[in-house]
Amino acid sequence: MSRNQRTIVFVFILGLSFSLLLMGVQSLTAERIRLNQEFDVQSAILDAFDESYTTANFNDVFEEVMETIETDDVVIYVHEASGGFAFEFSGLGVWGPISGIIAFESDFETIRYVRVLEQEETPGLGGVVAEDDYLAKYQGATMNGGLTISQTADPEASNEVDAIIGATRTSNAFEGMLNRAYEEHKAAWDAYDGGATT
Amino acid sequence: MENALEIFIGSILDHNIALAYILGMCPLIAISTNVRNAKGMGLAVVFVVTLTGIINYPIYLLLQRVGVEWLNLLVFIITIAATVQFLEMFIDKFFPRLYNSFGLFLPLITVNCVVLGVSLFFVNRSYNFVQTAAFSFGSGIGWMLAIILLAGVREKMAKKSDIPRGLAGKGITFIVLGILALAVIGFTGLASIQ
Amino acid sequence: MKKLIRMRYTKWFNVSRDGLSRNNPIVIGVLGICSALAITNRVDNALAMGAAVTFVIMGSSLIVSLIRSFIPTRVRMITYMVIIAGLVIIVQFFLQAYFPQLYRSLGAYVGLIITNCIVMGRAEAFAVKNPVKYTFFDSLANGIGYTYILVLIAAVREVLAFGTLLNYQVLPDSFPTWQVMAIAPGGFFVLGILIWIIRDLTKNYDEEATA
Repeated sequence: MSRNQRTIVFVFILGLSFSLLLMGVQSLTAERIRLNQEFDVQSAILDAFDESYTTANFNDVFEEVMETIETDDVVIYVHEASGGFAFEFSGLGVWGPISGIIAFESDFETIRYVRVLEQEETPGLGGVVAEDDYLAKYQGATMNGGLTISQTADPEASNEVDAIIGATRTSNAFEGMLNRAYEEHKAAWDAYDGGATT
Repeated sequence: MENALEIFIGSILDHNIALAYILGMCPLIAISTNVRNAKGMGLAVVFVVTLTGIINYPIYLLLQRVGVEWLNLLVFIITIAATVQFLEMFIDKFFPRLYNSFGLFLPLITVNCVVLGVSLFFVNRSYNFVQTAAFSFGSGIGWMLAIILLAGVREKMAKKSDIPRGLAGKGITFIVLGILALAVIGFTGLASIQ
Repeated sequence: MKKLIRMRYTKWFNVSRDGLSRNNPIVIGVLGICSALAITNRVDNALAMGAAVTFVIMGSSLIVSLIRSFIPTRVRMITYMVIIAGLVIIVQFFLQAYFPQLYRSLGAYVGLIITNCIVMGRAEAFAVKNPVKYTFFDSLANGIGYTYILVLIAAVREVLAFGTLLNYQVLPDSFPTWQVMAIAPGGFFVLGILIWIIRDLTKNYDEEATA
């Protein structure tokens, strides 16, 4: 019986000490992790509107130049100086989740900037979706009538963008998540804006 | 929900957990010297992966509700260890014949990354319950497919082939796995796992 | 028999040599392959993974060695698991807090260190039977033995797949990048060939296969 008791006491002490340790580490790092996540999103948005910042003051700069609007379960960031908009999008790619931010000019239609923050696509194929050189192609494209990402994109049409070569499915997934996020945020903004002005 | 079937097929073929995500390699290499053992191990994995995927899903929801989802690793691995232990006793007691065919492999499964991997992936991809079940079962089948294919090749190779001494054993096994992985890439685009 | 095993382990350099080369966990033992292949398409990932695994092996082995006389035999495995899982969660927090970029590229594979057979293997095969000072060298040697193989594989794959090394361009732009190297088959081929080279160099052949 005493062996059983010793086992139980041992398991109890082990569990307790590790839970305490983990809670300690969690509370020590929680603040930094939150800051990192904020930094990813906010620095991307600040880049989109060509604002300058440092790792130390990004948060203050962000709060100064951007207005955060929460409406209908979505968050939209408005650049006060230019009237441009930005929001986060996310969805599933071929191999895992893809997420990032997209920024628009003040017409809420012309794409100003896209950045992918998280993706697990095949490096060199679908992974191209996170590369700045590729995302630069989105600049100036419009969401009017929905964005089309295809291998046979018409360079004249403003709502068509080249797909990634050899990664049709990643491109399709990306197209889907951008259009979905756009519709959701645009609808929320129209409802909010309409309500505010009238 | 309607794409559960697609997830199931996808996780067997083009997103095969062994050949595309490279999980569960230790037992895959160690137990693939003959087809009979490979089948036993494969069955055991299918069983445990499906069961733990289904068990871990509600547990994760619970953790999320309490707001301690960062504990998921610890909780998942304990659930897995407990499930395996329980399954072993249960099968030994009620299905002794089944136990003889794959019971021996059960304890090894606790440290098989496929099992934990499946639980971590469903969190990452935010599946719902039906999708999780389809994904777990499909991944198990996919892993079984990989180990049986590998064992078949190795069995034949051991009898017929003249392999350089340094490459024999583990080395050539990886080359074979590489070729199998290339074959799986051929299925890319067949099914989506979203 | 037990005495013999002890004798072999009494010198720290013997212990270290075992982990680094003679019984290298990846090449000879073929343990911990999952992470060795899945994340080694870039050298920085391999370095991070190696460091994380070394930390977890050392931490868990030292803790197990310290409390080895208190661990009840029956709950041995679950004890290792709790210790390892705890350390892995710490690694996750640490990476998320200080190296978010790396954390993102390693993804779920950080969590999978728990099921890395090397960690469990060192706890069960060495730490639970040996005093702390030898355990220290054993776990360090195994960790480094694991890391340098990872980096080696990653270096080959990164150069062939992207033409870069630690993200610096090393091959001319005209070099056609070899995508297969970045995904699963490339990892298998490189590791297979690496095992061949090392076994031939050390004349340490796979006994069961050649017998």
